[in-house]
Amino acid sequence: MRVFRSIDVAGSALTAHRLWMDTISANLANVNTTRTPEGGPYMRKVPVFAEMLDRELDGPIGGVRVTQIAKDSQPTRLAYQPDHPDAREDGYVEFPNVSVVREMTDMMVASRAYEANLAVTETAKTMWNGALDILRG
Amino acid sequence: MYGDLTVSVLAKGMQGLSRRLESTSRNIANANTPAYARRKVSFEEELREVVNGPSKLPMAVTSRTHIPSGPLSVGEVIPAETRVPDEPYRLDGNAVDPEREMAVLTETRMSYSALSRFLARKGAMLRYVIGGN
Repeated sequence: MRVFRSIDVAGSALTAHRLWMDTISANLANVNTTRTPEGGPYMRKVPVFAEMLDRELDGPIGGVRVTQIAKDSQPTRLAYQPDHPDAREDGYVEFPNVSVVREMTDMMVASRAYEANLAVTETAKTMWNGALDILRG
Repeated sequence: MYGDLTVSVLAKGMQGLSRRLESTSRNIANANTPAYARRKVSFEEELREVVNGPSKLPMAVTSRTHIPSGPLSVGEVIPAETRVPDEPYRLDGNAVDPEREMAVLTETRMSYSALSRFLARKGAMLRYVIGGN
């Protein structure tokens, strides 16, 4: 419905940012993973945000969505651990390209963005309650 | 109540503010989208021209098919959403300043509640005149 468009938009952002939060937790959980089904160490996952242009109603909804979860192509972290079962010939082990500090700051951004969108929802609610009160005088 | 300038101006103001809420929510939702250009809604200036009379010399309109230089009545003020393209705020081309958007959000909410209170008061006055309570 047109009047609740703002809430739809904020809702799409809540979904997107929660997905981002899920990716961050996956990255942090796998910070030391050296084996994956595809082989090689775990690669950091990053969500790709895109503006949602859905013209099925009278104009774009304009929310946000995650188009894909891409893999970070940064080089892996090498550590010299010849006793590690996944060590290469030269004694180095490839660890994921996940930086804990980076993930922590991303987590902060994601959680603040989530809060901002909650504030939008709250504001929209207050405004429409005010409009309903016109009838009461 | 129809034809009353106060009511139509208040209603138009509320319509514009609700459009602004929509575009602000869009901006906040896309605060992390690369290359997103922020949106803004402006209608106050046009509304002011309708209420106070045009500040510029208006072009004469003698036929329905002529394009007027500005809105002639409150109903013709259309709060339109425009993209602000050349204002990148971050390196990824995103143009959303979260602080400003939150400030706009608060301002919109307060103005909207003020207008709705005015409108409610207007209704109460009419009810009082009619003799109800």
